[in-house]
Amino acid sequence: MTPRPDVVTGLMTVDALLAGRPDVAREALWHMVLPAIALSLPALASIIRVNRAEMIESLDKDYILNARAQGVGSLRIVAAYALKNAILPTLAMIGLRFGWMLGGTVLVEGVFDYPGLGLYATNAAVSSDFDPIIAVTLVLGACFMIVNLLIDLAYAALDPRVRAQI
Amino acid sequence: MSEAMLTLQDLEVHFPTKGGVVRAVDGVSLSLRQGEILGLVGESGSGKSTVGKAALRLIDPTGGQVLIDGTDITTARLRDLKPVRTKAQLIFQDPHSSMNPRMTIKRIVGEPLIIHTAIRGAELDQTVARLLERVGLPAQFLHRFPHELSGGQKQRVAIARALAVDPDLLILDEPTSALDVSVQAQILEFLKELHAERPRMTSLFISHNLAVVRFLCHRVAVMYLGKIVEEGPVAQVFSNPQHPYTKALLSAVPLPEATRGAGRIQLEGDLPSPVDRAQGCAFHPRCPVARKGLCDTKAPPRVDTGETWARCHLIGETP
Amino acid sequence: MSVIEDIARPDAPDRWREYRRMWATFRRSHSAILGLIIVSAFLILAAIGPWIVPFPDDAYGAVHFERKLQAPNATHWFGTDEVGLDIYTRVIIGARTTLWIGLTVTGIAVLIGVPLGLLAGMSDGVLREVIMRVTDVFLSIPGLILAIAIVGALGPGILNAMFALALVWWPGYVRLVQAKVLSVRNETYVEAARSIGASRARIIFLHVLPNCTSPIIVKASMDMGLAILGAASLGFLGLGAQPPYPEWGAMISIGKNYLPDWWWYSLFPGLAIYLTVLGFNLLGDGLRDMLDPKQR
Ligand SMILES: Nc1ncnc2c1ncn2[C@@H]1O[C@H](COP(=O)(O)OP(=O)(O)OP(=O)(O)O)[C@@H](O)[C@H]1O
Ligand SMILES: [Mg+2]
Repeated sequence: MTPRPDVVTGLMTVDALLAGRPDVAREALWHMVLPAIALSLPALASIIRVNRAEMIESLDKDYILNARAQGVGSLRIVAAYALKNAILPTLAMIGLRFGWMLGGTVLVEGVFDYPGLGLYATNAAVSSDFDPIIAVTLVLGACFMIVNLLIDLAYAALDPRVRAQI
Repeated sequence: MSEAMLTLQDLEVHFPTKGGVVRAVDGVSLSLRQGEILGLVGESGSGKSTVGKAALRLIDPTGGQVLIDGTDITTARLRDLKPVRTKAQLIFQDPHSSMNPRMTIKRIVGEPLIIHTAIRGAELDQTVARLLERVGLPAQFLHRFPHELSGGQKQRVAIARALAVDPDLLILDEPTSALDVSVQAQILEFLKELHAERPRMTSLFISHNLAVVRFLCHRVAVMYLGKIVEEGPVAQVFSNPQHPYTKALLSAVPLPEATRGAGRIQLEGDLPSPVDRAQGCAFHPRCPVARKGLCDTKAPPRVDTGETWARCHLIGETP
Repeated sequence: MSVIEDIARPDAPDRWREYRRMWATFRRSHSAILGLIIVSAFLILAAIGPWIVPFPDDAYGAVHFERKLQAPNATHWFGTDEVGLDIYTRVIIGARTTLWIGLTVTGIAVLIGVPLGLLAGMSDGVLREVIMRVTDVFLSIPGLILAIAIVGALGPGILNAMFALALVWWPGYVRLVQAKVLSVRNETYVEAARSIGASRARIIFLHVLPNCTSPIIVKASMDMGLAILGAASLGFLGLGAQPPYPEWGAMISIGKNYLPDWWWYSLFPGLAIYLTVLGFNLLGDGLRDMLDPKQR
């Protein structure tokens, strides 16, 4: 194990880079790869699924047919017309999945012995030490709310109907 | 009019919405004598359905009074409305959506009986079968679900449900507009027979089909933006309309008596929103004969012209 | 009173016709059938488990050091654990624990969530606001985290874990039912029911609720899988069932310390969790296609 660089931000990769130690940063990143994959795969699956269903549905709409009839290119139809409509439910699913992922971190950190907030909360819960649990719950709850706020804002930016309601 | 079955007195229904107060019904007075069929006509959005629903307190009126067979139901509590529900029934425009998709025809038609009578079991089945027979449906429909019936059959079921409690007052909200012409004719014939059989039966027939109104109704009331603009016996109103709006409506349909006027009167623009209502006469922005300084400033008075009356400044001035 | 009477007297022959049609839809989907098979197998195992396992004594903990950590073989199909318990036996018996957790958690969530959702959907004003805002508060914290917090407050253990999960799960039903009630109560047939004089209770129980059941059933089926996963997660974290209680999550929790050399220890309970959750999810998907095809 390479020695830990000075704590500046508390984020190992950033601290390593600040200390001019790209090798340490690489190693820290390397330790994140497997947990990140484990966390993202389930979310990936359901996001793909929603997006696919929505794309199929919106590609079936009359205005897409109309665009095709007017000679708009296939790529443009998929990217600009259909995706624009399919992205909203997909965003909603991303928001939902983000909550699950926050819960999932607890498990993934347990599996990989990765010293994050989740493991901290679990250890506290096992020993019935209540204060850390509350702290972690609040922090993760706040994260979740901020992400949902961002998604709502993205919604408003993308959908004129939602924008009109605000 | 001593034996009024339904009386509306200055009925008002205002919906508060984000865009402002929608004055769907704005001071409607009507009276239906026993045995009478009154047609209520007007463009889409003029407030016809809202009048019908408010008359049965399915929507609470924000002003005015509703009397059914002499009883004021305007402020009655929901519990006290139960007897009224056996006297007056509503038939909806779309028969399909007016039936619980999870219930069989037997239960749909039987429900008013379960609510209001002690009839149960085999007797209930028989009563329901008789009701279906009365509207011309064989008993095999008893065990079907609404989605297994055609539009005309469904509307018959809806009528059977309304007749289950033996009402004296029917409010029919465009009961045939979702049906094709031949089925429509059958239903109208049936309603006519029903009225012939039962002298007390009174109907408020909401429609935008003037030919149907002429066929079925005794009197007609023309509604525009929440107000009645003209009312009178069908024959008089159709042959000699007073209000420019009535004239325009009539000129748009090929009716025998309406052909004598100066050809077709084209109304310009759409029905304005009931939120931002014009000053003066509500119709003046679209009126072909509106007079500046009069129609756009003062509300028109009610002018009686024999058996009919209308709300217009210009009645009797120019032919 | 007539409301109850009506419910007890469904129109049997008509219903059957309807059910046959639904089954035809369901059968068309291979994944739905697979889900049904997995769930049925799971239910059967849970029912007859104690009578078919080779080492019934191993279920709730015994010690046989002489045969510890044996790889899968003819006597011990799934191998043995660190104190010599038969993992096959414990996985099969674990199905009972799992079923009981899933049913309790989902059941409590439905019992709390559906009435509150109905209430919030049918009422206006203050009551609705109160119910929905409380629901929002619960939903604003990721479920598993909240469950961990509750278990942290109550202390680890299987009952507390179930209680915590149920407490985390009901708000989903409030949201679902309230949204559905809001759309159903504006349907013309509800207005028609009012126009024939139906009482409030009659409208709620005969017209609104029956038209809300499909999404509830679908969600409950999915939630069975998720509740099982949640309980296994808590068990895995050491907050749920405590070893040697036969619970899949708790088994993996110890088994993972024996990875990778003694892989069978956590593999088989893991497979059991995976298959059960998959089964309930596929079943839920199939039910959704069958019950309300529009809602995808
Ligand atoms: N619940 C409501 N909230 C707000 N506005 C409403 C509501 N119900 C009806 N309105 C408005 O009241 C007006 C009259 O509606 P109503 O349904 O009575 O018209 P109508 O004459 O029956 O039309 P149609 O011929 O299309 O059935 C419309 O502008 C409508 O938008
Ligand atoms: Mg209408």
